[in-house]
Formats: sequence, C-alpha cells, structure tokens
Amino acid sequence: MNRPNTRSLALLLVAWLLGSPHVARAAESYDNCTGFITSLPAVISTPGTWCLKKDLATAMSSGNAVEIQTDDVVIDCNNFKLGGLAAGLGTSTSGIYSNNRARITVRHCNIRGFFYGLLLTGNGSDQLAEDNRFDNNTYVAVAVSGDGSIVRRNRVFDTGGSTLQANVYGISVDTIWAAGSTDVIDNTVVAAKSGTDGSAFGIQTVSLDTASVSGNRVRSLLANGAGIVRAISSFSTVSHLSMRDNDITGDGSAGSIGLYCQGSGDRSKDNVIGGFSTGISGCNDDNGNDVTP
Amino acid sequence: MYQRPCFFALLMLSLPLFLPDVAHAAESYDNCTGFITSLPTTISTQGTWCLKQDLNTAITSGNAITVATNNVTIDCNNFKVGGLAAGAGTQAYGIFASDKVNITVRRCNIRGFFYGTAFGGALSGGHVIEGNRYNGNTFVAVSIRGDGSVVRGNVLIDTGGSTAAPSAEAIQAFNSVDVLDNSISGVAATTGGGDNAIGIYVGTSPAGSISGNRIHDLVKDGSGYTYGIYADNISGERMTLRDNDITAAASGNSYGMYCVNTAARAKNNVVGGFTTLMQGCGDAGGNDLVP
Repeated sequence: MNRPNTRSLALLLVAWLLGSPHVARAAESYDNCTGFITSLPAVISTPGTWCLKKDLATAMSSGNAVEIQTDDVVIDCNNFKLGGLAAGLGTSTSGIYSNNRARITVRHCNIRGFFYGLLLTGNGSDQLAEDNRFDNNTYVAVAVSGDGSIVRRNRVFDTGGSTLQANVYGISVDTIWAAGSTDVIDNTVVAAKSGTDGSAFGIQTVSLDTASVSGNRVRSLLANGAGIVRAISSFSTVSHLSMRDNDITGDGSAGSIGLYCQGSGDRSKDNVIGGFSTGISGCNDDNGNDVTP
Repeated sequence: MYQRPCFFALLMLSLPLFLPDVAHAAESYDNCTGFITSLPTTISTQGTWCLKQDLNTAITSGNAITVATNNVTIDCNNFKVGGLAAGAGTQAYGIFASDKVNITVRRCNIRGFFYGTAFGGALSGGHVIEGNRYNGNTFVAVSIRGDGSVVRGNVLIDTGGSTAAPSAEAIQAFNSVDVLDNSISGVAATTGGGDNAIGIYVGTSPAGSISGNRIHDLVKDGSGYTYGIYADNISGERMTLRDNDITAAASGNSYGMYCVNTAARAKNNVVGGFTTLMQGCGDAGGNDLVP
C-alpha cells in the first residue's frame, strides 16, 4: 500500500534533480575549464575547454596568438578580448589558429585586430564558431574549413584595412570564409572595407558541396576603385547550397552583387536584397526573393 | 519490504549534497570584474560588472547606472534594477551610455524607469541588449543607436504611463540596429495624453533587420495612434521587417506595420487586428494580413 507512494516520491525527486538549477552550461562559468589561457602567444596541445578569465592582447605581427595543436578543443573566452590591434595594419598574425584539426569550438570571444581573426584551416572537420564578436580584423574575420562545421550567431564588424594584403593579393576582404560543407547561420556582418582596388565580400563560401547560408544580415560593404562588392558569394561549380532568409543591403555601387553563385546548383529563397547593381547573379531562384534596386 | 523504496528516496534526496558545485552559466560570478552593489553608480572600468542582489533607487532624474567607458558588460544575473519608487513622473534612466561602443546588457530585470536602457550619441554602436526583462518602464523600455547593435531575446512588458511624456514605445532603434526575437506585451500611452503607443520604432537607419518579434496589446490614448512597427525611413533606408507576429484588438488609428518609404521591405509577417494592417512598406511577399 505504501510502495506506490514511495515510488512516486522517488520519481518526484528524480524529476527535481533533472530540473535543478545546479546544471552546468558553463558559458560564463569557469566550472568546466580544463585550464586557462593567461598570456599570448599560447599553444593548446591538450584536448578540453580552455578559457580566458581576463582580456589578453599582443603586439606580435606574425604567427598565431592562440594556436591549437590537437583535436577536441574548446576555446571559451567568456566574452573577454583577444586583442591584436597593437600590431597595426601590417600584421599577418592570426588570432586563433588550427591546421588539420577536428572538433574545434570557439565561442564567446571578442577577437580584434588580427590579419585573420579566426583561422581553422586544412583538412579538419566539425568545427564550431559561435557567439563571437570580431571587429577590426584586417583581412578575414572568420575562416573555417571542414565538413560538418558551423559558423553561427557571430557579430562581425569593421573588417579590412590590411596593408600586407594589398601588396601580396591585390586586397580582398572576406569576412566569413567557409570551405568544406559549412553552415553559415544567423551571423551579422557589418562594414567590410577594402583597400586600394580591393573587393569586399560579406560571406564567401569556397568549394562547398552542400550547406546552408541562412538568416544572416549583411550590410555596409565598401569596395575601392576597381574592386567590387559581393555580399554573399558561392565559389564552386558543383555545389548545392541553400541560401535563404538572408537580409542583404548594399549601397548601390557599380558592379555590386547581393547574391552570387558561380555554379548553377545553388538555390536562393526568401532573401531580402536591396541596393545592389545586381541582386542575384547565377543562383537559382526558388521564389520568395525580394530584390529591389 | 517497504524499506527499499524509502532508502532509494533518501538516497536521491541526499544526492545533491554530493554533486559537484557546478554553477549555471548565467548566474555564475566567475568572470565578473566587479559588482554593482548600490544605485546610482557609474562604471568607468572596462569589463563585466555583475549584480548579486536586487537593487532599487528612488531617484527621479539622472541614471541608475551610467556606463562611462567602452567595452562594458552589465550582467544582472537576473536580479532587478528597480526604479518604481520614483513614481510615474520619473525621468530617471535605468542604464545609460552616451557615445560608447560595445556595451552589453544581459539578464537584467529593469523596472520603473523613464527609459529602461538608453544608449545614444553619434559615436554609439556595437551594443548588445539580450535576455533582459523590462517591466513597467514609463516611457521607453529600450532606446539604442548605432550600427552593429542588436536587441534580441528580451521580454518587454507594460511600458508606458509616464506623466512626463504622453506616448510610449517598447523599443526605439536608430542607425541600423537589428531587433530580433523580442516579446513585447503591453504598451500603453498615458491616459488623457492623447498620444501614441508603439511596439518598435525604427528611425534613421540605412539598414537593419526587425525580425521574429512578437508584439501585442498596444493601447493608444484618445486621438493618438497605435503602431506595431513604425519604420520612420526615407528613400534608400532599407530596413527589413520579416517574420514578426503583430496583433492588436481593433481600434481606430491603428497600424500593424507603418513605413514612410517602400525601401523598408516587409516579408512573412503575420499581422492582425489593426484598422490598417500595412501602410507604406514595400511588400516583399508572404505577409498574412487579417483585419
């Protein structure tokens, strides 16, 4: 007779435990930090969650402020700053860097003043860059490579101004550069300004097979001289991207393109595009796009 | 026979005592630069400034919290910044900054101020106002200026009733601010003032997204107007209004979405219960407009 009541009590307790506020989400908490990055440059060679607990800055003009040398690493800046502004516009330094690594996560970082703000390159996979703020990075704010990667909810401001890139590459500004099959979702990209005869790219995807570029807001891109503005670009002749629900605003500059697709397999749907010489170029129109001059 | 379940229950009850002392991220104080322990106060050092208790003030002018430097986060850890004691005639601001960049306000419960939060000035920009609860602010709950700023995931309840200003606005945004995923319930112009009730007002914005917001219970007064979203734009100001749910009880002089120029584009909004559902906005398709 008492057994059902006691069982109910036990179930209630289990439910209470599951709903307990003592559950770690560990964004601004240090509870799950494997260790701390306390100075720059730093090398991470042990998997785990590596945290910042204060603003960090460096004046190094080459190399990497934080280099990740192993798989399965989370960099959680707890909204602190990783700063490289002191190196000036000639910097070639990357803020956070990895090459051929898998399952790298970078979140809650405030990354400023680097040649590459975030550069996860090579044959990695399953990268995640989320909820970061990038500003005043001089060439590329976010560059992520690898199948299954995601770039989401980042805020990207005021990219551009590199003097080094002008000499070597003729200046282009790519604020989010995704390669592999990387989803680029719900980011805000504002103000990318190229140098002499340089082009300004808001979101550029390179050699993707399938991916979503969705829900992003891109505006205030400025090219220079012979350069052009492309808010969202897909550079692949064989890709099947879904580009949808993006809000893209241009300044009406000559040659500017809102959505650009190199191949014919990319689809565009429900984008709102205004202020470009060409609203959509090359992408298949899946209806629902609103294009105004 | 009955001991086993009782033992199990006691075991479960005692389990929390042995759990590691893990903190919910939002309420952790680990990354706090310092604490705000009384009002009014001025923040002049960059970093994350936290609350660890409810705070109140009866000031009727000035600012409860003045942010006087760039790169500051105010994290209230869901505690209250309260100004109700000043009454409906208050002209005090809850959190204020002028010509600052990169200010974040999160997890605050801001009540009873003339402006709940106001970030202005020509140099202002890059702000984040997210995950807050605004309740009973008397004129404007959130006012923000500056490209690259975002107001997202806030709950804004019962704005209005000031005796110092007759109109009421939940959110006003200037210069290309994104206003995303906010819930606005209850905006009421001051009784007897004959003025407007506005859910979201956007002015002087070359761009910006007003997206995914839920707006309802707007009440004008007398000859005033009700606006769910008011885009005060000129030609070339291309804000996007999409995926908003805007509802009201039918009343005279009411607009679900009002745009001055068709450069503001409206797409996939659900609007109902206004005398004029959409006025002046460029129709980008997919809008559901029901009287």
